[in-house]
Amino acid sequence: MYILSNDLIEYLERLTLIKFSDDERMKVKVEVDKIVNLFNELRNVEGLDKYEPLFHVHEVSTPLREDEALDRVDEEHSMLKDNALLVDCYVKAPKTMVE
Amino acid sequence: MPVYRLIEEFSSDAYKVFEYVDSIYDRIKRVEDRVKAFITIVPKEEVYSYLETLLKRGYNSGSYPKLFGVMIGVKDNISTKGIRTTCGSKMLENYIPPYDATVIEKLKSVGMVIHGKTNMDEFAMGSTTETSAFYPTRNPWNLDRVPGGSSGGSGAALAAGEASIALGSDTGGSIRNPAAYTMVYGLRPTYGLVSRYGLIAYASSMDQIGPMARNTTDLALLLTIISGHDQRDSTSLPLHSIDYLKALDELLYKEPRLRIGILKELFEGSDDGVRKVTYSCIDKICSYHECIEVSIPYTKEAVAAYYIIAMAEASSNLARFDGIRYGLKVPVEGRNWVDVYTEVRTKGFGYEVKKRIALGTYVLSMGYRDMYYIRALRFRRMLKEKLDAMFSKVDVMASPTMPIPPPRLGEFFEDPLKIYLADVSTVIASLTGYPAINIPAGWNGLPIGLQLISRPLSEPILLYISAQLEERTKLRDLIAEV
Repeated sequence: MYILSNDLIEYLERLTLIKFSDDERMKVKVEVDKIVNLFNELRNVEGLDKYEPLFHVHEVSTPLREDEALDRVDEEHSMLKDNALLVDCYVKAPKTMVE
Repeated sequence: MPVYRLIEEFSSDAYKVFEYVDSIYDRIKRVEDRVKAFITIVPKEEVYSYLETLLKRGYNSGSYPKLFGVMIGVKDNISTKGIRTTCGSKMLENYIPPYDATVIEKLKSVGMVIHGKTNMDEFAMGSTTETSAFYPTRNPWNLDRVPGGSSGGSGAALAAGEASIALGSDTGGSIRNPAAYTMVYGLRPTYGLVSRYGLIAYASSMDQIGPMARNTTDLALLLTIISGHDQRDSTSLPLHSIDYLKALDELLYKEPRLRIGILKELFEGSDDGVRKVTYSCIDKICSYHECIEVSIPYTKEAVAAYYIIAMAEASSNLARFDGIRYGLKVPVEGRNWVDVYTEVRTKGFGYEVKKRIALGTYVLSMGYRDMYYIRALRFRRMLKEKLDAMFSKVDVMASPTMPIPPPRLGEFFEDPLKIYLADVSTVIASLTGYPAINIPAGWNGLPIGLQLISRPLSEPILLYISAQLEERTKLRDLIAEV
């Protein structure tokens, strides 16, 4: 019995929008068992609950600058032209709703 | 030739730079087929043309930039305007950044020349450079061995003489590990000292860009150039830049005696040969400084916490890769976004990246978040507090950088857990944001490195000890025969 059941893999595939092939599924099940066993080492550390989670090593708030435009507006889409599919200065994307 | 010598050479005759460029490209031609340090090599004609522009500008203004003509290899997850930046992934195989990372702007401002983008584990997820979607890099000291990772291309380029200096990035040890395995110097700076703007993110709370070089002086030189506050990175520390070369010279002049903590568990947990070489290396300065044994009981737990946090952050960071604005392209006409995004991500990411995104999603999902992710963050605070307490007693802490010598290619794929546990020494600085350095320690048939960790913003101390050890070991400016 693996930690990653077929149902759990399918659930994670839906969340991540990534599919595993049949071979990858077999491999990932075996490997994740070992990795999660490593993760479980943290359960053996006593007294952790008294520590607040440390999300970031510098516990400072995000600095904000004045809301003023610094860069020229990229009317030509030069930022995207080498990388995106552009149609009439719009980026072509898939439909968000289909019939 | 070391970078600090090149500077002297070109300042007396700027046109010597072309001989130097020829020599680097000749070397690349001779060894690159076997080493595979680069993903992209900038054509020599482009480098010539860029240098001619700099020469003309220098001639007109009467002075040349400080590091005029020095050729640097840049890890392929650092954005370079107009030069393909793949992150070692099929996802970004054809991606050409429209802007430079802050560190690249800084390199260009002092006249440095980027002549290639170095190979790496895909999205920096790996410790051997074998998860690169293109090809593995081989260790120039022994072509059957890996060069470490994820900045393995940068380490290999230096060891093979294909670059004079290099940039890497370090999340869980990705500068220090390949530096140890390729016999070069590599520094992970204090988190926030070097801007991450333009670095393609893996685990943002731990990612840091840092210098790699064949000697300590060059390392200090490159750190001086790339460090400093950057408004475009909200985690950048608001500090003035300092001259690390000057700081190093001052320390070498004053020669303060320090307390060095020998991390007991990390030495004991290492392979016999590694332990012997690293003990012998640190012993060379223990008669001058004071060395005392210190203990950090949570080693396996630190690896667990590191991977939980890194995978959780990766699952969020890599959600941006959908192939729409950049990245792998698939047909979109008449298809819905779920199908398109899924196809892009399934084809674009390699197995290790898919696995880490899935595991990161798992540890963040309902029912597991507190059990894994939050617990790892609590551990991170505890580790930081323990380290702070230890640094009230010692100035630096020493350990082997890697507990084992460079493995054979393919060896780690047999058991992926082994590869994670090999990060046992390096993840400590990553979790806490402290600076750490790899110093070449010696040979056991293969390169072995010594790691030093110190207090935040105490990079000069690390450079000082590195320079002292370099002077004693003479392990400097080494280039493998290949």
